[in-house]
Formats: sequence, C-alpha cells, structure tokens
Amino acid sequence: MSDFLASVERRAYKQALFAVRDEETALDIVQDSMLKLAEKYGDKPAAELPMLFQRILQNTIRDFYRRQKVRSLWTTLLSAFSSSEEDESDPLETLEIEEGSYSLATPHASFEQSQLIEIIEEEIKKLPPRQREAFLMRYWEDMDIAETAAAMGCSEGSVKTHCSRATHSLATALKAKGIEL
Amino acid sequence: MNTEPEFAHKIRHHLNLATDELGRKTADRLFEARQNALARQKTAGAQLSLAGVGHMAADVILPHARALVAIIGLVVGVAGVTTWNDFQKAAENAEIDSALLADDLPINAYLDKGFQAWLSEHSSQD
Repeated sequence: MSDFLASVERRAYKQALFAVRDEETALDIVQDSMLKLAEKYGDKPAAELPMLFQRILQNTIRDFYRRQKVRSLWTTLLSAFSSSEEDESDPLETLEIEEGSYSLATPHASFEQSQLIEIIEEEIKKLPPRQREAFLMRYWEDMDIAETAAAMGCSEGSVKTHCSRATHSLATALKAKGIEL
Repeated sequence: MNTEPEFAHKIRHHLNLATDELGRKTADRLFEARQNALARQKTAGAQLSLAGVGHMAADVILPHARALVAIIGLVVGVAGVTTWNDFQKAAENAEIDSALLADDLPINAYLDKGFQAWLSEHSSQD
C-alpha cells in the first residue's frame, strides 16, 4: 500500500489539479482519496489498487464539482438580492483558469520545455472531464481498457471513444499553437 | 502523423517531467497525506483477530441498529400485551370459579341462557 501510494500520489495530485484548478483543493482531494482507499481497501491485493484508487479519486473530484455547483447556486441567489456592484460578477468566473495560479518550478529546465509543459497541461484542463479521465487513466496511469471502464463505471466502448476524442482534441489544439509532438 | 498511443506516449513524457518538478511544499503535503492514510489502513490481519471479529460485527450491525431496536421493541410490546391479556383472562375465570364454588353467583349468571343450559345438562347427568 505504501509503495503504491508513493508511486501514484504525484500523478493523482496533478489529475485533481487538472480537474479542480486549485492547489489546496487538489491536495485535499488526494488526501481524502488516499484515506478512503487505505480505510476501505487496505487489505486488497496490490493488483486491484490502481483501479480502486482511480475510482475513489474520480468520485471525490465529482463530489467537489457537486459541492461547487451548490455553492455557485447560493452565490447566484445571494447576489441577486445584493445591490452592490462589486457582487455582480459572474460566479462562473471562479471556474476560469487564473493565469499563473500555479507555475512549475523548473529552474533547471529550459524555458521552452516548461512553456510546452504548461501549454499541454492547459489543454488537458480544457478537455471535457470524462475524456480527460479516460485519457489520463489509459495513458498516464497505464490502466488497460477494462480497468479504465471499471473505474469510470462505463463500457469499454465509451473508454475508447473518450480516449480517441481526447487525443484528437489535444493534437488539434497543440497544432493550432504550432506544436507538433 | 502520430497514432493515438504514440501521441499519448509523448504527452505522458511531458506530464511526467512536470510531475517530477512539483514543489517541495506540495511533495511534503502529499507525503503527510500518505502517512495519515497508512496509519488508518485496514489490514487483513485485523479481521482475523477477536477485535477484528467484533469490529466486523459492529460494521454489519451498526448500520441497521435503528431498525433492529424498533423490531425488538415491537416484539417485546406484543409479548407484553399477550401476557397481560392472559393474566386478565385467568383472573376473570378465577373469579367466576370462586363464585360458583361459593354458590354466590351474580344474578346476571342466571340470566345467561348458556349457563342455564349448562346447569340443566349437568344436573341431569348427576
């Protein structure tokens, strides 16, 4: 369990960060997911852990979305009663990516490399959630189609479709910025 | 033109580079989260111990505790009412029996046709 968590924690953090776009929230999500996995499935064989952890991680991210939706609804309702001009901002603005909200500490890497990584990460963030989940599980977590489908609670055909669309979207977006991988 | 796995492999390479460059603060937080999780890890050994058995039983029973208490209350209530009725009936019968033995029957007893039929039947037998 210890080795598994150590091997997966950084990628899990990045996955959560792509989804929620806030460092603190992403750390909380990873912590919750690790706790749930250890408490409920601590006795499971190591081979089952990746799929279980991904399922927990994605559910925890979805829980965050649900809470944020409720919060946005209340913000909208409350701002409707408020006369202050400052409060008339669109609550959906909170969902936008803040420029420089986090930057990669790459003092030794080349400027171009860090720029490329930032662009790739931004494009991954822009993917629809299900496409992003499928793509990252398949190709970053090295899970096979059946495992990904089990973790996402969908059919294997859906996983293939999500992955294919995600790849196409990423390739198109990067090409539009003059990047050919 | 890259195939899907080729393209994904290149993306993965860049994502891994970014992951290696995570800040110290974030890495420390992740380490702390991992330690917390491991401290509360469920182990297979715990299930085999006596405490583990108790824990498992509690896990199974506790979610249904309210329903169980309600059912037990209902059963105890029904049993109580039945016992009380039996006592009442026994007391009434005892009262009638003692009145018969003492030849001190209330007037209503003689108005009861069933009682008269029973009386005549028994007196003819005698």
